[in-house]
Amino acid sequence: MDGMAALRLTAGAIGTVAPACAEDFALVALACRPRVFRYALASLRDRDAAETIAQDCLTRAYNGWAGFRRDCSVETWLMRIAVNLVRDRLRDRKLRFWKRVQATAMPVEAMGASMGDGARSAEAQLLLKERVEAVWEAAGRLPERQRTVFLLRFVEDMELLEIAAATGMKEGTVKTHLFRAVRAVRERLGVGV
Amino acid sequence: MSRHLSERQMSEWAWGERSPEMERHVGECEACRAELHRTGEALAAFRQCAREWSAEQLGAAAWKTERARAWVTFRRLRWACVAVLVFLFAGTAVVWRGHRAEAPDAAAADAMLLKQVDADVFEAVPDSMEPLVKLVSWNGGQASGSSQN
Repeated sequence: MDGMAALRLTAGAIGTVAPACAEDFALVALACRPRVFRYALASLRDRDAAETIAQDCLTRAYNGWAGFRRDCSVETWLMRIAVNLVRDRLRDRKLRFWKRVQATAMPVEAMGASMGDGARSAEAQLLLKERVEAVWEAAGRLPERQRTVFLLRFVEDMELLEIAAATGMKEGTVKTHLFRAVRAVRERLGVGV
Repeated sequence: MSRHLSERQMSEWAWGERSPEMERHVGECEACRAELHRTGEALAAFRQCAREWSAEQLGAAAWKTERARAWVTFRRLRWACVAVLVFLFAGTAVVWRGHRAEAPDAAAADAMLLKQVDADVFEAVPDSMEPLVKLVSWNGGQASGSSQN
């Protein structure tokens, strides 16, 4: 792999560059791991589970590299694996008990310094924090597919076609799930509807 | 577009699908603009929150991994250190034991050598004095006779 390809990989803009050796795959893993971890964490709200999924995802990608059809970018392919792993994890009956426990973990606690950017008053910051909490809560209550497309769009900034490729849905189906998810979130926010 | 944006259009706007008609209406309608702003702001803050939380948790996970790795290394080194200490202790014991076994012989040899040196020093005459010994006899006659010769 030449320098430009490595740069593209590390910059996160991964195309259909095929890692030719273990070192190349390590670059892909380095670039994509945070994203896979983030998606898994937002879906499961459990650091250990997210870490396991990120690890499993990369292991599966490494082992299944020969089966990659190059019909999408490496990153989208990895996200597809991650989506499947998260789905399997959520469907695991043993995890259902823990889902209740995870619901108590509020990621909003992590946001602090960035909210106080000086442009907002303390009251506005508090209001925004409450809204973010409401979005987390609404996202946690969404059905699995709606939550998946919602997180891929609004956390991972993926395009609808990428989401379709990552989830195996048609673009129209992605739009439908996304519409329902956004409607539920807006409802929870008390906006419109 | 005279009526307000529908729920579907609001959602489409949120995920980035914006037709010219929608943009025109939002430019003119304060109510829709405010509603879209509230939704957009909440979703942007949600994205930021998710990213910050993930970065924080990823850092914590990396730290945990590093700590686990350091612990494994420490455990390996601990056994290596114990092995080295055991080896050094055993080696020292062997050397010390050998040294103690050799010690009496060496002491006896040293004592004998010292005794011999003492005897030589007591009895011997330096080389530079050797001719004088030939000239001077402690029993007078022989010495004077030889000097006469």
